[in-house]
Amino acid sequence: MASTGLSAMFGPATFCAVTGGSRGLGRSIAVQLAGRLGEGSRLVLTGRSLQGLQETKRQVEEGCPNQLEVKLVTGDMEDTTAYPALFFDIFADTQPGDFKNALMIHNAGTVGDVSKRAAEHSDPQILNKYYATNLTSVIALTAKFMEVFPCSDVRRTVVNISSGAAIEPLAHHALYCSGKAARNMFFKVMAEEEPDVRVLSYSPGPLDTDMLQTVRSCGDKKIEDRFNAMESKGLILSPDHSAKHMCTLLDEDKFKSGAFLDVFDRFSL
Amino acid sequence: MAAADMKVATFCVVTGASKGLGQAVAINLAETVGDGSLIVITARGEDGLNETKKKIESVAPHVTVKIVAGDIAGPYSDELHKRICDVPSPGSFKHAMIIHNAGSLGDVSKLTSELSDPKVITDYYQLNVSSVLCLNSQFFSATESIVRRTVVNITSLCALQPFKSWGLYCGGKAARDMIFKVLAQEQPAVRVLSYAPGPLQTEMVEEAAKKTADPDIRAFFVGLSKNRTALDPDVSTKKMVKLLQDNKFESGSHIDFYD
Repeated sequence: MASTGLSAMFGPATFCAVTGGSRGLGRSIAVQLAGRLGEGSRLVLTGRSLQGLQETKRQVEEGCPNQLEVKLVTGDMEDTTAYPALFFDIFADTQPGDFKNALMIHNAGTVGDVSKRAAEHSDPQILNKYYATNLTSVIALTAKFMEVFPCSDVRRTVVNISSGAAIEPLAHHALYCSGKAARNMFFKVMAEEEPDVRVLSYSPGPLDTDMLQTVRSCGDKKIEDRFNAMESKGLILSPDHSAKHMCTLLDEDKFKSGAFLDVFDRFSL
Repeated sequence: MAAADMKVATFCVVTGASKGLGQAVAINLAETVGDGSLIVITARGEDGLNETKKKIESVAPHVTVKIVAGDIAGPYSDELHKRICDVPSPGSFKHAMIIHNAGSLGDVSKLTSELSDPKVITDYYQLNVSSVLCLNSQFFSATESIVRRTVVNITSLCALQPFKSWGLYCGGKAARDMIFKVLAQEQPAVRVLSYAPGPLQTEMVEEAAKKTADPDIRAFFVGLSKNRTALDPDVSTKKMVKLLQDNKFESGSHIDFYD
């Protein structure tokens, strides 16, 4: 039974990697994408929790009508020395010609220590680890993706899971905001350099996930009030809803490469 | 907002002050501040710092200059940051300033898809982003009792616009602009400016002209170099000083020489 809405982005023989696939948005993205991947496709999920990844795999296989190869790779993006082994595992057994499409979803991310204001970040080890997880890993993994899929005969797409925080400064969130700002800009540069690659920075909106709980407890009253107000207005989304919207954007394939789009269509570019 | 009286006793830190823009900033600020001021100039190049100090002393003898040589992103950065931000008798200063100028271009010979070495990327962000946060944090604790504080982030058009081959640099500048926007929001009493100096006649531009992988971007910098149309760092610095003196900018904003 073929999925509806098969496009050149998905469809048969698609390689898809999703980082941070053990819970939250990453899990939802995996489940939503899986339903759209055709025969001969492979979904690779990375994350720190094997248990979480296994649960995601179970949900993927439950909802997915096609035979889909799902591979799990556990690892921590904080540890740059582990990247070679981790990246090798993600792309292992990928022969040229195996896939017609390749999709890389950079979803893994952390919010950092939100108890600290910008002028209180004083530990270089903590900062280096933060940027390793949220910035270095994304850059190096993208380079590996491009090395594995170097030619335009494979339709390549890279998605940067971003945030409104990439363009709006939030108190207590200097690390998160700056990491997202850097990623958005980095992917704009990539979009200019690689006209054959579809590059999208997607802001999923405020989601009902573990990350939101951390953000809401950062100690800044304005932020707490803001999210409380959003919640009472029903504006906190389910990650499934946001993941669906992202898939629609990819499916329609109308976005300008390098664009920054969000679930509410509030801003572009 | 009232104009800022900069002719007061100021504690001032300038990073990357051994050459180029940093040197010009240190000299111009020394001429601008009042008696009893202390300017701390830091960089890796001690020879360059000595030269900067000589130049400051010849135009601003009323200012004390302290040299702190070292790598702000190196393994002993914690100790270095403390030395840089060591404020003798804080009560004697009316104003504290830090100019986060030190920075690097990164490997512009590589496109984003070629940035496969995590060490290169981590080292880059350690110097251009993390160490800035750490030094800034040290500055803030050391100057807590000084009522008036100004923080300048030397940024670039690259914070706002993508430049092919310059993925690391653009990302770094975008991250910094955002850090300082958050800082401005959290610390309304502190004047925070992200200043983009324009393309300057410095070693960084020479490096850009030599190493940039993308032919269009490289041609632009080669042209600047050949035609001597890059800006004199001194000219750009004077504009920055005027912005600080006029004091009309919105804290956290990004202002370019050409604005």
